[in-house]
Amino acid sequence: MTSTEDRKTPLYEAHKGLNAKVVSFHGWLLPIQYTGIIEEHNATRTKAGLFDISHLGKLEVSGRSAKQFLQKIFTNNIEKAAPGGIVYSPLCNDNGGTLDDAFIYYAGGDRYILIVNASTFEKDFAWMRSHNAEGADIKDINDSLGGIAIQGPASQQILSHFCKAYIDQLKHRHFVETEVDGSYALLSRSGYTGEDGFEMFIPAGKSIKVWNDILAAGKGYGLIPAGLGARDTLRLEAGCPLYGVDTDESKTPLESGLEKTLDLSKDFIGKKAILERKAKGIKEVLVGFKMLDRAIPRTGYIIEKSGKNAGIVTSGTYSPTLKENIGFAYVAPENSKTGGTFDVIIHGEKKRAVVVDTPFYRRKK
Amino acid sequence: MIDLEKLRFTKTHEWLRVEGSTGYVGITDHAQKEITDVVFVELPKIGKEVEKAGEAAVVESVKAAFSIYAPVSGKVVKANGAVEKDPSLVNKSPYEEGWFFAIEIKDKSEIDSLMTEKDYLEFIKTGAH
Repeated sequence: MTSTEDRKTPLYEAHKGLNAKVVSFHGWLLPIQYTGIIEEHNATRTKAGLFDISHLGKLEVSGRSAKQFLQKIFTNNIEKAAPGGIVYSPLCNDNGGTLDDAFIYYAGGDRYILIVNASTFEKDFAWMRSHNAEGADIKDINDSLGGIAIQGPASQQILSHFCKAYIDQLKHRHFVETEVDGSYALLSRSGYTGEDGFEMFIPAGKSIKVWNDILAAGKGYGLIPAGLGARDTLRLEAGCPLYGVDTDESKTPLESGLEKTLDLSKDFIGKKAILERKAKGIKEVLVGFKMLDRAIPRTGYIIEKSGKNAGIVTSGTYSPTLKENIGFAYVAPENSKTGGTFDVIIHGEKKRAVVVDTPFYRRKK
Repeated sequence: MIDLEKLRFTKTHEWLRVEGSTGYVGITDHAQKEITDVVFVELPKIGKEVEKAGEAAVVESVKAAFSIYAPVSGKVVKANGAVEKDPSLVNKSPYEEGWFFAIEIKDKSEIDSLMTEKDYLEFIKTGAH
């Protein structure tokens, strides 16, 4: 049910016009589906899907000490990004617990744009301001920008109708500040679906026009609007963990499979605790699994090995692309090897599952 | 076409179609829309005794699992194999091909406690669900 506290994205009226089923999601009113989750999922895999991503948190960090500040806050090395590049990184508290994960866009000079989760925006913003001895300029740019993602193999063709930039030359996890459909756009080749695609942040007031124009032009290519339901099944197939579901403050990046985002050559908040935990050995790790028996795993379901409690499911779904039931779970490291089996308790019965490599789905290049 | 006026409805969004002493059970069009794409259906075994308002089956959509409650008490006499093979029938044809199971009704007076179509439409309109 929706509450009066919920905020509408700049695209809310467009969703209403498309008869979307709107739900409350971390304080935002967002479409869970338009025509059907599976149809929207399949369109994104085979043609293209258009998503409202206005709820994502947006911050701008600038000033002479911006880099120093961000290097301290984030576990990954933000110097990996040249101007126009994007770095993915967790940010941790002093205990190494994961506060959030973010995309850091380096715009050149002393300017960075941070895209964070909707559910954690306020927490991140407060955390950054209270850990800003460097005096970086941290600005909330949430309300000024709407967000649209176009995902799927036809994305580039469709978007090329509206873009002055040579988007065919834009590399994965890179961005340009350009014009899309006559409006300013922070446009990146990126996404959360496992497909080729683009994400753009545009002035809030122009969002509906851009959305409607892309949707109309994309119709002939098979583009349809896609909601949070498809976003979730797509990201799970693509092996992307979701903050607040597959990881949270009780986990360090070691447990959630993000060790490669830890740059131990520099200092960052939480590093000491993470190194200590690494030395001691972690007790659980996030794995991908698929069901061998016919049943669908869901968030919170218990895992057993030889009749003993052996972990918990964090995400699970029927995979429309693979036509199998898949999920993420925390299990002990000794049970995390690919090919290892365990039971998931589903509706009171033991159902067999096997650990598999992620991503579950990889697009053909 | 099914005459919806002949069906009876529960507050948990099942419908019951009575043929003699047998009652066919499914979920309403409103329910299938709320549940979203159905991808898995777990039906009761034939011969199972079910209680009115007791859990009798499970439907799973892409998003979540939902319990299906028996509208009346009785013994399960049929299960719709077609809907196990193609769960999307629940979305495509909730009142006809998408039925779940049939019960040999134990006490026909239980039917009187169920809602008519008119009552049910009023019930979902007032948002009391």
